Amino acid sequence: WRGCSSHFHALFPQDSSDDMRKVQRREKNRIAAQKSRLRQTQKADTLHLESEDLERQNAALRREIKQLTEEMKHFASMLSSHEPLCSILTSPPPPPEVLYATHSFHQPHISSPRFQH
Amino acid sequence: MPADHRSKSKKTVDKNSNEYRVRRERNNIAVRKSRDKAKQRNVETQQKVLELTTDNERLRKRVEQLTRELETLRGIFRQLPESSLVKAMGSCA
Repeated sequence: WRGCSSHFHALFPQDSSDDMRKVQRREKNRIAAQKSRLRQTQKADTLHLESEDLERQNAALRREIKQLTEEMKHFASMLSSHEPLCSILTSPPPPPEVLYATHSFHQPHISSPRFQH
Repeated sequence: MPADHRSKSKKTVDKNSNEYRVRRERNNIAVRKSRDKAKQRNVETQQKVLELTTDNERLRKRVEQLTRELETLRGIFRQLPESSLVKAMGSCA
C-alpha cells in the first residue's frame, strides 16, 4: 500500500502529512508548556519549604540563645556571690602576672561588664 | 491520547457574540489578577527567605559567642576552690 499512499499525496497538497506535522507540533508544545508549568510550581513549592525551614531554624536558635543567656546570668550571679570569698582578692595584692595567669582573660573577673548583658 | 477539551463542551459558542466577548474579557481580567497575585506572593517569599537567612547567620554567630563565653566561665569555676563558692539557689545549669 505504500505505492497507493504516495499517489494519494500527489492528489491532495494540503494533506494529511501537513496535518500530521501540525498535530505533532501542537503535541510537542503542549508537553513543553506542561513541563514549564510543572517546573514553575515546583520552584514555588521549594521556595516555600525553604522559608518554613528557615523559620524553624531561627526559632530554635532563639531558644538556644535564651537558654545560654540564662546560664550566663547564673554564672554571673555565682561570680558576684563568690567575690567576697575570693582568696585571690582578699589576700595581699599579688603582682599583676599572677592575676592574669589564674584568670585567663584581660579583666579581673569580678563584675565584669562583659557578663552582664 | 490527551483529552481534547475544546470540542467536548455541550454549548456551541459564537465567538462573535457580545456575551462571549464580555465573558472572555472578565476571565482575562481574572486570570491577570490571579497570576499577578501569585507572582507577588513569590516575590514576598523570596524576600522573606533572604531576610531569614541573614537573621539565621547573625543568630548562629551569637550562639557561638555565648558558648565560648560560657566555656571560659566554666573553666574559671573549675579552678576555684569549693570553699569560695556560695551554694546556688534553684536548679543548677
